[in-house]
Amino acid sequence: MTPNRIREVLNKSFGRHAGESRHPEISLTPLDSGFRRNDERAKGFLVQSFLSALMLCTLLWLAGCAQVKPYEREALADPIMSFSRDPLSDQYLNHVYDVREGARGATTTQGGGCGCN
Amino acid sequence: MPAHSACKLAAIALATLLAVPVSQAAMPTAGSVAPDFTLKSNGSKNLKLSEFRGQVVMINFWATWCGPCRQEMPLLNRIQEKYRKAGFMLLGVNIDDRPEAAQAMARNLGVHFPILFDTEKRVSRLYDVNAMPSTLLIDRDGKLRYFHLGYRPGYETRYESQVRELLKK
Amino acid sequence: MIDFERVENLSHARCQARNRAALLLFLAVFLACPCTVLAAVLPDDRTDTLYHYYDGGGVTVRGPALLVRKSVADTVSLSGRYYVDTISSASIDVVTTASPYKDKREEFGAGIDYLHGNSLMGVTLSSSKENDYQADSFGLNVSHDLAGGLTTVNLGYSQGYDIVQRVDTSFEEDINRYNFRLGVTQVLSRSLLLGVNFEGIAEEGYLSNPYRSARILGASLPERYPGTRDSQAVAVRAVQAFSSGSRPVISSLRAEYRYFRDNWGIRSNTLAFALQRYFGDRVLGEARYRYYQQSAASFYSDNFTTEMVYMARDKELSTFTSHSLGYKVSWKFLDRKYSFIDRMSLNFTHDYINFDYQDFTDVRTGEAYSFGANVLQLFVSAWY
Repeated sequence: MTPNRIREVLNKSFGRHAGESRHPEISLTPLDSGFRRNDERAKGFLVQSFLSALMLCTLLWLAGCAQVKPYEREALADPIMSFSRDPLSDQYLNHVYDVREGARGATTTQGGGCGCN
Repeated sequence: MPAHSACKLAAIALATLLAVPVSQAAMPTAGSVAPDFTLKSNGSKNLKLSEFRGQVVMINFWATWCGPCRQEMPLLNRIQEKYRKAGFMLLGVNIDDRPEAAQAMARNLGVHFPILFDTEKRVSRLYDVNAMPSTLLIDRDGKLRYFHLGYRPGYETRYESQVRELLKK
Repeated sequence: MIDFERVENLSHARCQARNRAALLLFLAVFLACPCTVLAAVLPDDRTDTLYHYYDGGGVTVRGPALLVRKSVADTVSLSGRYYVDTISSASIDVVTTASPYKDKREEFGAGIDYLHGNSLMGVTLSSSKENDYQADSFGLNVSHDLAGGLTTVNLGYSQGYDIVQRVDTSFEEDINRYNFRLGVTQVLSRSLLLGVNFEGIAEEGYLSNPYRSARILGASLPERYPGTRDSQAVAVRAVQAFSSGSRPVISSLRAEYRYFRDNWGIRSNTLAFALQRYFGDRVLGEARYRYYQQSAASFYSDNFTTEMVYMARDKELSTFTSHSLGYKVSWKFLDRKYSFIDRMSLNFTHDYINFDYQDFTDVRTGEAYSFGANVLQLFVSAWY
């Protein structure tokens, strides 16, 4: 991936204007300038939420770091303490929800592609 | 959350890190006498570390829930069988809350060295065990010589050469 | 005269610079932790053979699924996945605009994970095919343990390419999809784990359904969708262990919350709880509840009054809530070593999901649409 292509992909994810369609003859109406504003807000939100998450975890990590010794981690190693005990089953159930809902992402399983229309 | 307060919080986090006293090794240092302890074993009687003065002793802290520990134990068993007659003793200190689980696993893995049960984590705290597994080597004079934190494939060759070195003395 | 555009550009640049600085600071803080060594481990070797069944809203989907995972040379884990959906659809979309149909979707996946020190790196490939939709994707994932394994940082990227067709015409369009994932899992105490996950998705291409229509003043017309969709989701999860006299963990409670937003105007909240408990040495039970709520896309309407640039009547983009209640029973029927197998369990799950649409009408009745669905799974897991 060349640096230009990487920039293009990142731009598409974080800075792209949603108003562009595949049909150039449909002109942009005020509805689309709404998309542009959403885009920039989305980009800002993305970075801020990512940083907030990191921040939260740094502070929690500092709190937790000195206190849990390796020989005290028996409970944490138990399968019912994992976020996803049976990956295949959880992946299927997440797929059931993904197909029927508008939201996607940030689940405990990583999905493959699907015909979700 | 605006960017400038994100940075403020970042600065606070860094300051906190520097201020928090880092809890570290109350672990006995190499060259010092290994602290003595007595623990229940899977044999008939309790075992005391100082009983093995005059032999080279390897203490391996392990748990049933620790993957690398389970990987390492059969390899340690092989080292134990090889050097036992030359005056080498291997003690497996298990830190599970339930000794039965440890006994069952030791049987499954086919290990024959003694398993000691540190259910109260007394010895783990005494040696300030900071990684699982932890493997310590003690020489014939009862002095702590080498310690290994964690296990990665290949460590067992290091263990063997260190055991041989200590047996020569 | 104040040049607002220049001011905006400058402050934007400053904002970006600050964000970059904060990011570097956090990375430095993470790496500086003087805590101890605990190696990351490969995922467990296991095989799961599953049969799934969904019935709701006039749609029945069933089929097998298989997952096989085996480690090689202590540092590599190989995995393979096979999944089939056999669909009998008389859903509201289909029934009100076309006729019921049957379809079959097949999906293959493969992955390699490599363990090096405290990092686990993985590549996955996946390919899904049905008679009018083809989706292929590949993904990269890196997971790194810090602070003696008390903190795990996860980074993921995937790319997908879909081809959308129609069974009755030569229509063909495509979709490009990019996913970015970031997650942190943190041990807070002997019995509490916390995870935070972020996922950003960027899609471009033909994002609607070629069979579906929108309504304008009661009449049908083809839907018009934007050519791109960018979304962000943030989720927080926590698991708490409870001990009893006889064992260190007798039960656990998991709670999760996810916030989702995209540039189509959809905002959603998901809240879920799961309680798991051991019953004796061989049985594990789970009870779970999930609440989902979303607000409609800005170009969604049940019945448009004027023509707009973008128009959609997909109920997945409408305003609705869903409640889901379920249970899972796992029975470890083999708990000692047998040949090369360490243990095996038989599992059954049943979830009931209720969907309640606020601004999507069932044209057959004229009322707001709602339906319930049953989701069943039966699977056998073997560890070796």
